[in-house]
Amino acid sequence: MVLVLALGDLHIPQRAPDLPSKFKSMLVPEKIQHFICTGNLCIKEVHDYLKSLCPDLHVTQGEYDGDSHYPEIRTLTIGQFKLGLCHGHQIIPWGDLDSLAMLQRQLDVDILVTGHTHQFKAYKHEGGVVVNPGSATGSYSDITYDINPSFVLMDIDGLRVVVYVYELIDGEEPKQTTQFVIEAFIVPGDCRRDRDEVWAQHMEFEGFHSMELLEEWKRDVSCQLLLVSLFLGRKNYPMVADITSLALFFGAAPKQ
Amino acid sequence: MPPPIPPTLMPQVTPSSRCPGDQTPSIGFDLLNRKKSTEVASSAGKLAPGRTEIPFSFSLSSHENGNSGAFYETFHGGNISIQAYTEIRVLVWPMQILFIDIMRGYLHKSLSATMEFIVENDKASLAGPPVSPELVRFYITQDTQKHQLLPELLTGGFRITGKISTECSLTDPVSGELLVESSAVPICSIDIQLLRIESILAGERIIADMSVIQTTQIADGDVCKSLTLPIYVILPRLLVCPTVLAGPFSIEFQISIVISFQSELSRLYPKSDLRTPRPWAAMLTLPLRVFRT
Amino acid sequence: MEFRARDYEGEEIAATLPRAPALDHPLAPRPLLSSQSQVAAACEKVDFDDPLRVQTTDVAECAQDGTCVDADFRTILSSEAGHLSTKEWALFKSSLMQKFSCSNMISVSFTSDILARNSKENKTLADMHMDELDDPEMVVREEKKVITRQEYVSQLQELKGEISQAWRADDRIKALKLSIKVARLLLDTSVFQFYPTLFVLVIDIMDMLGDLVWERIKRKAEYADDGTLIYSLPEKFQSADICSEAKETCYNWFCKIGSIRELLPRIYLELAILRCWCFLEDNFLLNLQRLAMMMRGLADPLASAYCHLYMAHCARTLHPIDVGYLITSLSNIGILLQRIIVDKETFTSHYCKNKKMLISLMEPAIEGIMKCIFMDGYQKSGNIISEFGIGGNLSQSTWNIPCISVILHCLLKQLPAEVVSNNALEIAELFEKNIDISLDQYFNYRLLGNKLCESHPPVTSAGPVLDKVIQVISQYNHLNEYLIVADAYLDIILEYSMDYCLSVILDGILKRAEIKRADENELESLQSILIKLVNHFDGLEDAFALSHFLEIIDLLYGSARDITNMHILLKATRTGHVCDPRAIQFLFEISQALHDSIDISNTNDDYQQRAFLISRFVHLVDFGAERERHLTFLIECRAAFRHINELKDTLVHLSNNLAVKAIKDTDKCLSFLKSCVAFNEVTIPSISNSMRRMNLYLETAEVALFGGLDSHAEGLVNSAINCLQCLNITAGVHKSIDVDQILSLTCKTCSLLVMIPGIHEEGVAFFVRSLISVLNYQSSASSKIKVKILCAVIFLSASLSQNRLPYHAVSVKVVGNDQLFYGEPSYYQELSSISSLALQNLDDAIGEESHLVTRGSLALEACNCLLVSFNGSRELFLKCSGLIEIGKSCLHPKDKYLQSTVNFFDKFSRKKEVAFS
Repeated sequence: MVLVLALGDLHIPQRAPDLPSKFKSMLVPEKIQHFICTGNLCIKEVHDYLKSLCPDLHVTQGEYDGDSHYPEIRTLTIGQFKLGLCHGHQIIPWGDLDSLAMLQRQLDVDILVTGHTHQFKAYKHEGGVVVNPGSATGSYSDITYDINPSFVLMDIDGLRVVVYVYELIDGEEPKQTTQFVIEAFIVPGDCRRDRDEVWAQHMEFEGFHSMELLEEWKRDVSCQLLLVSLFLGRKNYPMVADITSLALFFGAAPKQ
Repeated sequence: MPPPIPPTLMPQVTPSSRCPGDQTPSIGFDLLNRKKSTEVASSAGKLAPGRTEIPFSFSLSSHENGNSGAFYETFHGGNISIQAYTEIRVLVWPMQILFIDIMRGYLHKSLSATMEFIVENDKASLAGPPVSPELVRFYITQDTQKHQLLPELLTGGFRITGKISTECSLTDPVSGELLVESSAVPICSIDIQLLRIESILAGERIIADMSVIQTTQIADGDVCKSLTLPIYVILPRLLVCPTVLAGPFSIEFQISIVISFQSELSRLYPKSDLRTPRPWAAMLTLPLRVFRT
Repeated sequence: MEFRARDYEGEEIAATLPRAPALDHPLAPRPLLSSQSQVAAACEKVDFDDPLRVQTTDVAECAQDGTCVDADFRTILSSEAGHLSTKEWALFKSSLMQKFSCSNMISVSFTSDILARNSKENKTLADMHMDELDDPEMVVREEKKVITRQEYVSQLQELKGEISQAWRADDRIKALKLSIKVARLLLDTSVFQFYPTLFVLVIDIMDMLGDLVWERIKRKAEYADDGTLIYSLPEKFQSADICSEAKETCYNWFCKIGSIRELLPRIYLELAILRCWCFLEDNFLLNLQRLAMMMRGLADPLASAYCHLYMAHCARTLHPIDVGYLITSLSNIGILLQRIIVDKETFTSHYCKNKKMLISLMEPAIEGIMKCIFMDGYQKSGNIISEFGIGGNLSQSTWNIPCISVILHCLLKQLPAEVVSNNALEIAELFEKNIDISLDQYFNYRLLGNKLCESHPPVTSAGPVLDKVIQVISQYNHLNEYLIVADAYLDIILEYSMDYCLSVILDGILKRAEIKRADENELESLQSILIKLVNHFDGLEDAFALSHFLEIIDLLYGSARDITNMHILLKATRTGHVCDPRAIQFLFEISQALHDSIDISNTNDDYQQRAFLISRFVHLVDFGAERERHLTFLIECRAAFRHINELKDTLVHLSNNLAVKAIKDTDKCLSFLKSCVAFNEVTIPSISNSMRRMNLYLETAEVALFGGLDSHAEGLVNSAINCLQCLNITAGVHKSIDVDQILSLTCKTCSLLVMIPGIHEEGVAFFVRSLISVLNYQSSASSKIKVKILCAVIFLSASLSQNRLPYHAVSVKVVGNDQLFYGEPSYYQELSSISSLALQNLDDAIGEESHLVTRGSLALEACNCLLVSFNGSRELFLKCSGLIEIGKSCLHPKDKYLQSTVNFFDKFSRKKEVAFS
């Protein structure tokens, strides 16, 4: 189980003096393993603060990051997933799904995290997941000034990603934290890796070594279901799975 | 292969106490010439080729020497030395006719070597010396000085008191205390000198010679008044022996406390000997009996 | 080719992942921290696999591990105590050497001509015979030679080498003789400030000799002549364990050293081999006591003090339980000091003219001895304090040591803070009784203050001490002394909020400062006091409310003033917003002073710090609802802080922020909004960096759009594009990272253009065309830049052509292009002509790229762009397959981007075929 915290667009101190105190109290050091930030921290002090929460901090350049010189684009591998990170002001038009998908293809990533629109979004599109953590300070964006502060925590466990959204509803009024869980079951390497290669990897992981056996199983529909449950049930998680995308692996949709 | 030679070893031990003639030729004579021979091995036999070690020992006993009470301990002084030597001779007695001609050259030659050994009196044999050496009180003022003093010393005056041991074991330091009670002129240095007096009976006369064997500074500069300074003088080894008062000669020691005062005059005599009475120095000399414990 | 119709909203809804409220989440506060009821509730409801629960146990384990490690560490520490004190000694030595900087030249009177050894070189070994030791080499020479400090040091180091070389060559007599000569160097105290350094150098050699002798005797005790081990000595051996032969050698060494004539070298050498007493007897404390007494014979106070220090150092290796000999040392030094202090007799020493310097030279030695006393002694014998007469009944003082204020100072320094604060009043009385020239009393009072602050005594005991101290310092006429003592007690006064004391002190400072302008030292203390005050109070207002606070600030000038100002600013900006108008005014003035004192002499760091603090202050100023006033403030700032370039950006951001707040809160804000935008329009051009200028134009344009000022927005975007034209985006001129940023900004401009109504007098697509023309201006721009911008233009045209745009300006006054040109054929015509123009240029731009891999990926990027933007048609397929071919020819066939693009293309064409059929 790996916790990846994603946030961005803080605009401190230009548009907001600081992170909301509710968020600050939640963000304590050593809880999270990876920290990704889409950019627009604006000053170095914020960077230092984030770094103190988690030393493994990855930041990309926002248009207001000035002289910080973070990279425009980053990729990192966490567990079995490949993550892409980009601020998002470069996307035309902002937040467009097809343009994001294009970037995802270019980076060859399973999860793409972008910001800039200051609005929390989580999509499953063309086999990958696109997450926008929103603005952690709720500062105004290019398009609107009506923003709820939010950030995202991804719990990556094996082949499952649970996305927790932390959003302060009602702006600056009595603050109410609401978390939502999005269980995005995605298969790493979907539409980008050779299927058999992926299977071989996973089967090896699960203790299946014989490719012939595997091929046989894949042809047998009842075995396919067995594989699916093996695949998903490893940790006995409550399962909200996107079976269809899984079924794509077997070359056919499972029988009804 | 040389023929086996049956040897007889005959070390001769010759303790001799004498004055080295080259230093004091006029009074150089053998004070005591005690000789004694000990045969270590006399049985004839073959010595195996190679190295052969024959251990030996002998005892020195004063009773064997009728004319004197005790051995004197080894001592190397300026004018008197007490030394003991061992002479080892190897005598080879030829028994084989066959080699007579060949060995003739060797026959009457004996191999010999001489070595000095150090004599110290056996602790057990010593009569009980005074157990607690008494400390002698002393005081030095301008009035105790026999020589000419600086006028300011005479008028201002000074008083240095203390106590010092006058009987001292060889292994112990000479100890005592010294206190500068008052002094009109700042003190430059306080030194303790160890003196040795060697005297020899030469005919009717007694010839005595005094030498400084060690100087030890105990105060450097104008020390605080009324502050007890310790006297602690380690007796130098080899240069000091127990006080000897033998008939024909004697070795005695003295301890001397020299107080030098700061004076412009003293700078004019940088190399001056502390023994010479100088107007800027005061001194006191006490006898010191040294004994072995 | 026609643009692909998009349903942005529908697509988004289809792709959005479902959200569900989470009952538990990883960032939930720890059960320990939250209230019990919440925990209970959480536990009932949640059967979730709480990722944190696992972690909590981990953390607990960690904590346990931590304590174990801690305990281990402590045992290691205690076993290393000896080692540590060695380190401490080394530290002490180096501080000694640094403490007294002295002139480079040292005049050396040759009590021993060891340093002019050229004549000695010629002597044969036979000359170096034992009997020479008796020879009193008291050659008093009047002549003095001057050598440099460096020479002196290097000669001593050479000597050290020579001694160890002689030792290794089995010429121990020579080694000893040379060591004696080295020790004799310490007789000469006329080298003054060099003496501590000389001491360190000499004892280094002494220690070496001591080690050599120790090792030799130890070897004799352990090994036979032929090198066989006969007895292995335990760590703590008894003298009975030592064979007589080794004892004999050891005794011989003491005899040899005992025959040295002069007192000082004799003591130093005996101290060097002091450890070796262990071989002879088990109780060597008597020797320490004797040596301490012998040192009374050293009349020179400096030589004596350092000699005692060396004894303290040497004796520590023996770990004696009793530190009585050190008390004797101190009392002897005390007697010497007293003599210096009351000295009226002419002791014709070279430094009687400068007693203070002499005492200051002796002080480190006293401190070192005191350290040694407390290192082992304090824990073991609790009566040391009473040995000094503290803690007992003072009226029947048991002083064994002459009470000299410098000794008292050193003692106080070493005493644990608790002990000091328990006896603070008595100690203060001791100060009263012992006023002498050895140390200025205010140093003692300062030390007492520091110790008190350290120990946090109860207020009941601190009160009387403070009363006493205030009474004492009220007698001080000199500002510096007053400030130094006041500074030391300030923490405690503030801690217990003794307002009366505080006002008395501040009053006292002001009174004394009126007489004369504060000098450098005084400024330093003043600065320290002010900073303590500033940092103490929660709000700056409380500090300002103090009587005289502002007047005292006015006493400062120069860098002290700047530093204090910076602290005030830091304090003010740490607490969040600054709302109080008076405070704002005060801080503004301070900032202005800081700003005006910036000149060339400031280091870059200093400048950065000032700029940072001022910007921070400007950021945090908050006039609440008085936005007009706030904007005025920004205008004032622009004028006041003109030297700080970074601040202009800040001002623009702030004015934008003000505008957005105004829009959010009220509807009637148009004139204010216009003022804000106008402020920016004036401010931005003065920024030199084009990229930052462009960025700020874009931000202001966005804000103008929020408020419905579409014509302003248009003008601002135009300015931004002009900035882009100014920027030379030719690769190589900028760092690649800057080029990347420029590209990103250009893309951002395109995205912004989606919202800007195309009612420009020069046509609907004026801005898009001007973007393309930027490329024409800069024909030397790299093909990468060209491709990116052309793709951006295509994306933009595709978006603009949609019946419903992906997003609109929030203000209802700004009408989106989709509504403006709905069904207007010329508009679509224009867009498609632009995109075909871009398409044409695209091919050329890709072809220009000479680097294969770059060309390949650019082709793929263009291909993706086309596939996303246009409807499937034969022309598009031809174009895309052409681009893919370029990609294939340039890239590795297993390249992921190539594979994914091919897949995407296949999927796309398959879909289209289905559509066609």
